Amino acid sequence: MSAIADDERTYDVVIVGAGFAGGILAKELVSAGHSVLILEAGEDHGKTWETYRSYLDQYYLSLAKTPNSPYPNLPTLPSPSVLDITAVRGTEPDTNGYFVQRGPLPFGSNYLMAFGGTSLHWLGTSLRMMPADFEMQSRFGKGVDWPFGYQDLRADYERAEWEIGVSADADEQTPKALGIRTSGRHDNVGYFDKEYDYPMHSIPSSYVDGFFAKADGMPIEIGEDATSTVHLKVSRTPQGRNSTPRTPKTAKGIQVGEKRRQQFRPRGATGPFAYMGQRCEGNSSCIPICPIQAKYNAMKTLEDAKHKAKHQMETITQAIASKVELTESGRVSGIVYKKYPFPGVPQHELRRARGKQYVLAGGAVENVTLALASGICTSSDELGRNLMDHPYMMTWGAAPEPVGPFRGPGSTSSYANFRDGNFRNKNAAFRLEIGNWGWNFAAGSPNSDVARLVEQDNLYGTALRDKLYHDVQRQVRIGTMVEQLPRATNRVTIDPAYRTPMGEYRPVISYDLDDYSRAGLAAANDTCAQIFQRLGIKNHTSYSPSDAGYLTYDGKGYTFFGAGHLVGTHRIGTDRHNSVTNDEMRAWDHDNLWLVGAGSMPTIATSNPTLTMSAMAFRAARAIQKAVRKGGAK
Amino acid sequence: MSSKKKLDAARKNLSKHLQDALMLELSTIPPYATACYSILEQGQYDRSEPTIVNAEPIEVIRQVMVEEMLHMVLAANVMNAIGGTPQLNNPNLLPKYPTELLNGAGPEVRLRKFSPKQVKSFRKIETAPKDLRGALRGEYSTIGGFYAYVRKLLEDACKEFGDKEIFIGDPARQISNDDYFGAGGEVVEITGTPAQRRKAAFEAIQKIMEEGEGADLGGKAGDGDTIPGPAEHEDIAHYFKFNEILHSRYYRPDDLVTDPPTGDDLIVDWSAVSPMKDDPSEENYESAPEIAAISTEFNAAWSGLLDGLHIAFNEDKSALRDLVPTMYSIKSLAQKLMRIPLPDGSGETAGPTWTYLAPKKRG
Repeated sequence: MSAIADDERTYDVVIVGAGFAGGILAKELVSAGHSVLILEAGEDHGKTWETYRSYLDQYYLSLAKTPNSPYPNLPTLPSPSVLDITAVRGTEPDTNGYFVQRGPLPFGSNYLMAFGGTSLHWLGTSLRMMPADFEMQSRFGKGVDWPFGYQDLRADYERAEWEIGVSADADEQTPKALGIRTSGRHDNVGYFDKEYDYPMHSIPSSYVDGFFAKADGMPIEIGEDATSTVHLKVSRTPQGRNSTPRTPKTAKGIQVGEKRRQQFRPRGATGPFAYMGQRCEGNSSCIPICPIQAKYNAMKTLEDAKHKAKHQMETITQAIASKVELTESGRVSGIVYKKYPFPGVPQHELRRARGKQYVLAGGAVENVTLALASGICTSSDELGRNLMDHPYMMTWGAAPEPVGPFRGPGSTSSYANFRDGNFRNKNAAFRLEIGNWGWNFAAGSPNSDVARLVEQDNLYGTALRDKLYHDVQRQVRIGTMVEQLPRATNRVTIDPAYRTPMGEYRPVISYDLDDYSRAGLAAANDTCAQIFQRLGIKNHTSYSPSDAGYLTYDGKGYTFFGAGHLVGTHRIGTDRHNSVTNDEMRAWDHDNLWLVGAGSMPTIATSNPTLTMSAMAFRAARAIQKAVRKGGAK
Repeated sequence: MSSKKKLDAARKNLSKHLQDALMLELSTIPPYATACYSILEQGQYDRSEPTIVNAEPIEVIRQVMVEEMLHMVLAANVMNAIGGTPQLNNPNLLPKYPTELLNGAGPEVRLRKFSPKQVKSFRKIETAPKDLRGALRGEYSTIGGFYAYVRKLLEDACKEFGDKEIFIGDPARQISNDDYFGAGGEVVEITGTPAQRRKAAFEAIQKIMEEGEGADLGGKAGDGDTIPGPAEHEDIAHYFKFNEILHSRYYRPDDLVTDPPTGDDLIVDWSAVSPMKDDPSEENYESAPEIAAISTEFNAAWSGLLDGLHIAFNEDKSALRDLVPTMYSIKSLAQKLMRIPLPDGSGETAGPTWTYLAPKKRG
């Protein structure tokens, strides 16, 4: 191999990945006066308006509007796609897509390698975890405890909510207000700081939400314990999209972390489209793309970071981090990356980035493949293990009256009742997300309805339009997201037999759902059936053994998908034997290396991981600042 | 005349001019929107590269349009602060196109497709007055001159009768950033003590003037306002935004008004446009009931928007939020009309007439 060219400048911090975590880290570190380099594998885009418009064009033209459909998918830099998921049969791995799937169940989630990362197509759900979620082992004898508790992360949650710009009302979001019978008696106490509130008011509830709220108060038995019976309640979901900014109650402002903040100013689109997106307009395409960027994406934070100090912040795109190099003492000495000039062409130049501190923030899977390929973080043998996701099961039906679907964000409310409770010693907790887009995800509506009515029912003209309107207007869907426990056998590995055209390792994934999660799915399915019955919804749900994500539990079959919530592969912990990093996300094995992102989370619980991961990025940023300062003094 | 009568007369005169201001801002929106919507979007024309070629001019016109909307809100706030009654759905006051702004004294505005001619006419609308002396006597022919006169009327009234006698409107009627979208800048709420309200009212009028023609800003294209976002770039006044389209080039905020723009390229394709008939009217659709039906649907949506604005400025501010979907229907119906050729064989298409319909006539 020819010599590797070193980059001229040595930075305080080198970050791999320009997504949620990388953006927050960069902004915090640059604000503290440190120099930052971000290496982003994705195609050079997102910086000019043309690229975002080209995403939109691509979205409009895509026949299957999957989460990754608007974005570039280079043969040389494949991102996992939901279209690649097939059942894994026998011992032969499924190599259809970017992932090499060893099964026994297919891992159904995706992410995006691009400037802005998966934030480009997230839904925007910004939930905090429950206090119990940090103590799964001590409360229920399941999984592991976190090295810190909910209260230790609370101030970082506040910072993350103000960075992302979350729309919600604190008094609606306490466990008690959500109708959760918490497993701990005091979990509701101090869930929010008294002086705190979200930066913007809740996104208004949809008409569909109002329809489901008719079942509020209905008792649902969950678990064996009568005290676990909950009373259904539709509650609004905190969302990272712009609504009306909150006027602080007093002139002092709102307490966020250690700072007092005045009224939040909604951040619209990046670049020259700054006049767009300061409010959500209900374009109803949050996944895969918000046309006006009213939904938060990491490009906003990255742009902020750039403007904090222009010369302190450098981003190199089309730069695939390939190897983390170590000195003999085990410190990281550089990151070798492949800089490719032409997207889609494997030709590249090998370069080396240097810094005082190094951060892997490329997501739970990419962080692992890079670390494994570099032979680092090996001592705990936890690297790559404990892969978790939210198995996502859908239940859909026809409401007895028109409910106005296909309007507003993908989901504005949920039944949060089942996010905690004493039942968690037996079966997994879950959240029931109320969908606003009819059977879109479930059955490809409304396009599939047109095909069905034309081809099967021979309808055309006015009759077709009337029937279509009649059917589509009644479509409702509930999405179940159930928690998974960390398991050593659910893991990401690498295998020299499977590489990308650039010569990088493809992730090899083994994945299964244990009975704890399956019991949760079954309980959720039963709950949905009861809700449908109460509301007179005709159930159209069908699960088929030919579905890729088909599984059985207790004699019944279910189909699950991935939720795109990739968690747990480089978890934090109390010592070098049970975890990859310490509670500040610093690698146990390598003093100046940090692994940050949803991979750091020891358990996934029932909240979409973005907000927790973002809060943890603030925690890591403080520790990295300290490390840079200490290193500089030497 | 007793001082009470004089005060009433002054207030009435102010209200009348502020109502004119409201209608002035409103009158610019249909022509701007029509031009925007006439631009073909992706998939509606043949290109080897299936991209929206005119995304930039659409955005430039849209930015001007949302600022006009903000100006309308500001004018309504000033009017409500002095105890006036903003009227948004009075058919006798609403513009009928083609029309001349400022009750006949100002530039002509027409409903035409996106074309150099039309953008030039937009530029004319946003032309700054050369000299305000005549305007201050009430002889104005530009928007800037008109607002200079309104400002003077307000100044004189405050001087003569005192702020307390002028700012008698209900503060609850003030539209705030909580109520309004916020695009195009921040709303100025006219609240507080009479002196504070006077200050805010002048701030509001000043904002309208600067964002429009860039008056009083030392010969620079910038409007003194910041584009939202971390870069804190200065925004460009409307006149120069239209000039950007005509020159296919962006201005920098410190470009001199006397020189052409010196910024980045702005790509304009004048051919990717629907051939909409100039100044379409309901008579054009008499022989085409299908088009007439869509036109009625459009006018019903437009009328609903005006009714909603009237309610928001006079009774219930929360009505503003519900208008977002209405604006989407207006866009989609306008584009629908512009895709239908007229039956006269001219090759031209129908277009929205922006006519207010009484509730009974909305079909």
